[in-house]
Amino acid sequence: MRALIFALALLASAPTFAAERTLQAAGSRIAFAFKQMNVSMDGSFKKFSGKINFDAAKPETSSIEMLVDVASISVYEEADPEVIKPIWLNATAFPQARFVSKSVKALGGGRYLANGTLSIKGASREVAVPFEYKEQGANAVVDGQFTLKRGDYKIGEGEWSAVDIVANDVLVKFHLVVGPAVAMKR
Amino acid sequence: MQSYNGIAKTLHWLVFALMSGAFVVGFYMHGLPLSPGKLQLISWHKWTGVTIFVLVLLRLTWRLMNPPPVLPSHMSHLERRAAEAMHRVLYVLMLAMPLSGWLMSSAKGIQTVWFGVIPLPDLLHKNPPLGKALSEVHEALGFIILAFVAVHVLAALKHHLIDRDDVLARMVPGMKPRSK
Repeated sequence: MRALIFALALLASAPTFAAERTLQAAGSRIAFAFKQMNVSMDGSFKKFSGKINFDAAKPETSSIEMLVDVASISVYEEADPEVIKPIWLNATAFPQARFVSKSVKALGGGRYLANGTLSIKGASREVAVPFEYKEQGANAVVDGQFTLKRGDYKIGEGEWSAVDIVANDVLVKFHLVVGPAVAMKR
Repeated sequence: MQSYNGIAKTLHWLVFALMSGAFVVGFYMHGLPLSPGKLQLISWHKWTGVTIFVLVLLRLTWRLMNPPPVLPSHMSHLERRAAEAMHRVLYVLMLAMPLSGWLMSSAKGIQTVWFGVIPLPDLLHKNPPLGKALSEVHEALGFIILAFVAVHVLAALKHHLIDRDDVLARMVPGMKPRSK
C-alpha cells in the first residue's frame, strides 16, 4: 500500500520532471560521407558527448545538446593531419562543433525532427535533423542523418572552396546510444 | 619478314604512351602536399592505370588469337628463351602495376571510380597499414617496370643496330623491313 502511494506520488509529480539521458560512448557513432571527384568517402569522429532530454510523449519539451571534438576526425591517412588545419576545421581555434535544439516535433512512426543550431568553426546555421528514437531497455537509441554544406561553415577555404573536387554536401549520420533516464528538476 | 598486325602495334604503343604518362604523373604527384590539384592528378593516374589494365588484358587476348611473328632465324635457343621470358615478365608487370594500385586504394579506403563514372569493387577492406605497405609495393613495381622497359628498349635497339634484323621494324609503324 505504501509502495502504491509512493508510485502514485511519483507519477503525479512526473510532469515537473524531465528525463535527461547522457550519451554513451560505447556503441555510439557519428560518421559522415562526401564525394571526392565523384568517389564516395567516409569518415567519422571518435570523440563526442551529449545530453538528450527527450520525452517521446511530449517531444516539444525536449532539449538536445551534442558536442563533437573536431580533432578526433578520421577520414583517410593523408587527409587526417590536413583537415584539422585552419583552412579546414581549424581544430585549435574551434575545438568543438555543437548542435543545440530546443524544438523537437513528432513526425509519426517513431520519427522526430529536431530544429536547432549547428555551430562549426565559429559559424552557426539553423538545421533540421530528422531522427528515430527507440527505447532499448533502460537505454535509448537515436538514429538519423542530415546534410550540411561545408561551404556554410568555411570548411575548406582558399583553393578547397571550389566544390568540383571535394563536394559541398556532407552527409552526417549518427547512431547514438543514450544511457538510462535520470530525473532532473526543470 | 612478318610484322605485328595493326591492332597489336596500336595497343603496344597506346599502352606505352599511357604507361609513360602514369609513371611521370605518379612520380611527380607523390611528393606534393595535399591540394585539389593533387587529388585531380591522383584521379587521372588511377583512371590511366585502370585503362592500362583493360588494354593489357585486350593485348593478351589479341596475342592469343594472333600469335606474334616468328623470331629471326639467327637467334640462339637461349636468346629465344630469354626473349620469351622477358615478354612474359613485362605482361605480368603491366598487370601487377595497376592491380597493386587498385589494392592500395581499397586498403586506403579510397575507392577507384573509373573516369569518375564506373566504380570498381573494393578488393580489400579499409586497412591503413596495409595501404601503406601496398603503396611501397606499387612504388617499387614502378622502378622494376622502368628497369625492364629499359632492357626491352635496349634489346630492340641491339636487334636493330647490331644484329641488323627486323625485330624493331616489325613493331614500329611505318618502318620498312630491311630483309627482302
